[in-house]
Amino acid sequence: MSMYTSVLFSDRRSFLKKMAVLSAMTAAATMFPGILFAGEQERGLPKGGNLDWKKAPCRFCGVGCGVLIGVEKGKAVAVKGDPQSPVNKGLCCVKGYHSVLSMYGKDRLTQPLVKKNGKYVKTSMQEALDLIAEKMQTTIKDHGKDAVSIYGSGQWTIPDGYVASKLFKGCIGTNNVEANARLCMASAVTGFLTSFGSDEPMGCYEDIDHADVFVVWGNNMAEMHPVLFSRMLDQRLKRGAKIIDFATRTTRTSMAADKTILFNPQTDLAVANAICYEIIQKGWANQSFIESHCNFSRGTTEMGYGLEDHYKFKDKPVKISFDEYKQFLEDYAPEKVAQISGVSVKDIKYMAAYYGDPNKKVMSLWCMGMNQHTRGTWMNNLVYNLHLLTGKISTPGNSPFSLTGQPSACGTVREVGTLTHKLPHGVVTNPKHRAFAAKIWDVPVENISPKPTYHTVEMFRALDRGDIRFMWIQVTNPMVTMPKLKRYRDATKKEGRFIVVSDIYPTPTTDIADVILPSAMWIEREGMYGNSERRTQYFEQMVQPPGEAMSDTWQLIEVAKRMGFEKQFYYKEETHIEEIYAEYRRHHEGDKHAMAPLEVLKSQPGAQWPYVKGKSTQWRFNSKYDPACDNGKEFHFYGNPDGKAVIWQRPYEPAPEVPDKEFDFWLCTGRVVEHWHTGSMTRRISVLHKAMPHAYVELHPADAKRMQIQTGDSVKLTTRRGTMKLPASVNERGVPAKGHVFVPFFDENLLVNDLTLDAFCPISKQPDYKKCAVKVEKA
Amino acid sequence: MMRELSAIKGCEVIPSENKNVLILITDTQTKKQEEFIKNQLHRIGSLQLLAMVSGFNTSSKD
Repeated sequence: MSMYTSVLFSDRRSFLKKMAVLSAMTAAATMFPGILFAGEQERGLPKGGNLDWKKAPCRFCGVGCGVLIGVEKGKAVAVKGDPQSPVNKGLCCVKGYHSVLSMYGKDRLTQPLVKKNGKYVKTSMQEALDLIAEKMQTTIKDHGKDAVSIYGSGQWTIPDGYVASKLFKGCIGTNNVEANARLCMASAVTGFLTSFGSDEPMGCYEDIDHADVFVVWGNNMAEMHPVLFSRMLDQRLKRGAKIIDFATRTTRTSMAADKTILFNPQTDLAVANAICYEIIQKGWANQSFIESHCNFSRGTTEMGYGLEDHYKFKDKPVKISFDEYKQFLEDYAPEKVAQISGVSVKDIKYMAAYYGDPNKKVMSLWCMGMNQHTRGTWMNNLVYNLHLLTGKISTPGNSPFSLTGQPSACGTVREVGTLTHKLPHGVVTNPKHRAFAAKIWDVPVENISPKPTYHTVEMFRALDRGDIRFMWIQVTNPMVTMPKLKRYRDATKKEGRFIVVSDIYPTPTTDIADVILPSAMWIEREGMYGNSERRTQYFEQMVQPPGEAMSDTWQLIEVAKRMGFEKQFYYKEETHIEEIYAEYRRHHEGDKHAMAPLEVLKSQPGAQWPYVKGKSTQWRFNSKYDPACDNGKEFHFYGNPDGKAVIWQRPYEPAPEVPDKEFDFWLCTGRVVEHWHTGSMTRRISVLHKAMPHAYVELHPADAKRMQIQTGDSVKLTTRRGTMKLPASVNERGVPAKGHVFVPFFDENLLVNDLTLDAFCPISKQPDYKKCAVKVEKA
Repeated sequence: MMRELSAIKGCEVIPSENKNVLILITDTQTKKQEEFIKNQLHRIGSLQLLAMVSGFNTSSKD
């Protein structure tokens, strides 16, 4: 906290007082859902100094709050919410408020490190980049182009992801490009694509100001998306909007909700179908909307869980009639579903009544609970079904809304397309899309392989098998986040593997690197992020990066040039971000996805694509708002060739691993408000680290009593993958259901992913971190 | 409640956005003063929950 000390406090007493306030604010954020102290944050800012305030999107979650950064003498010293930002309207959560401190941890990486004889040796950036380029070339020569790979992130800026894709897919000719967003929102992508033929939410955050009911599907928004949750609480206070928390665990969100409904893991599939059944039975379906704008389909079922290497699956959709769909739903009468889900008939009907009421505007919100699910794509489809059956979609307040956890999961991974099957516009399997990308990239079209290679889990399996020999990891920490972690950690240590890690701090992932590159983070360089509501936001470089730290974009460009791709990587150092963005925008030309020009992004707190004729589009597929609608009707789901959305027949299927006699509890993992993901940044912010210093295991009080476990006692968790000990948390912040335990994953010293299972959704390939069987013992 | 709390000597009140929670900073020199404030706080009927979260003892180098 020395930075704050020097700027803000005249004496030690006022410093201690301020620390107490910060501490209380942080504690309040963990105790009271959606709590914000905007007034106090404003008062806490330095006054009378020569602060230069500059706008940026927040570094942390996918909400994309607009923040103003106060810079003094080359250092970022203060943060406040940007009152001009329509996202957060001047508010900031505890992480956002402290965000600039994440740049000034004592152990910032400032110089490249190369492993020689088992020890890291400091080297120059030029030497390190030479080594990386040389290693990539020899690996390609010896093992083929599909032996090199890049694993990036939803924290990649748009230019980072763009040059990574251009280098690997366009120049080298391998589709070995993946990003950690595969672990967090791939099911949302495949959900959108299968239902609407076009990715990302049709609505926006302004839906919150119009909705009468918020149904939160398996997401602890109070801790994960506190600013949006505070906006929901505000609407409850002002207009009496209702919040329904549909979850497997009681959380801070439950505390603030009008009603919490707990369901047995995986049975959200059955409950969603039961709500559809009830909507149709009660005559609440919007027949004219369905007839004009929807088709019905069913897909392949019982397709497994991807537990074996080389697992492959391709869905085979078959069109069905509304009557066939109704017949399918007969298995999901509330009385039947209540028996497997643990949700009462009354509660199923309660939820259905809100979705069915033509006078209530409903917003469904979800994040990891629905996406990290072995039937995640299905679950996304089923929530869309609720909105399509009732016609409650693409209008202000009627909005199925998939939230994201990273600042540019949408902007970079989904829109630039840094996944194995994707291109900035379209997919690698489509010859027209390949030709389009090749033209802009200035590469022969044959360079772009028509075959997707490995999704994230399979990419790490390929590294283990030796099919991949070189991996470059940027802005992410897979040695904390991969499920069934031990297998993949061991893989990186095998002979003949070469790992490059670009990061800002030492992490368990830099521990396995052969070369560590120090990166410039966030406002130490220039870039753009894209948030959950299709908003692209620009930030300028405000401060100098430490030592030799370099942006991930420029690291990639330097290596590309060394590999002989100077023609494609023609960008000048002073103007490269502008040049890259101008090139990238060409991929999205047209009314369906046009991106705002850079000068617009520089002048305002972001713009939402499609950005057409100087205007953001808030609600897609609605002809009143979306200029891409051209079918002459009120709605046009133009992502699909026939202009219609798909209502999917998706059944309930059980999880791959369920509690049994030996492993008799469910294990669920997740996040906490203080820490962002693996904690590599927030654990270096003293007030956040002190508020939440280590991971723990939550137990239900009845289970704890039976096992004579109290808060703080050591508990041993064992799964078929591994074992670990954690301190217990009983009746504290979160309370799991009986027979369940919950462990947060932010703590690199207590790696819960050594215990998790690497099963994934066969369509999205996103792993399920929410469900596996575990044995629980007092240690 | 805010008025009552602000009236206590040595107490500073910071309201939150959602109006149901506030931060109370107490600044005391002696144990006696601490006891006095504690007694005053207990007399406020509208105060439903009081959670202590401070206890910072940072070194002067911080």
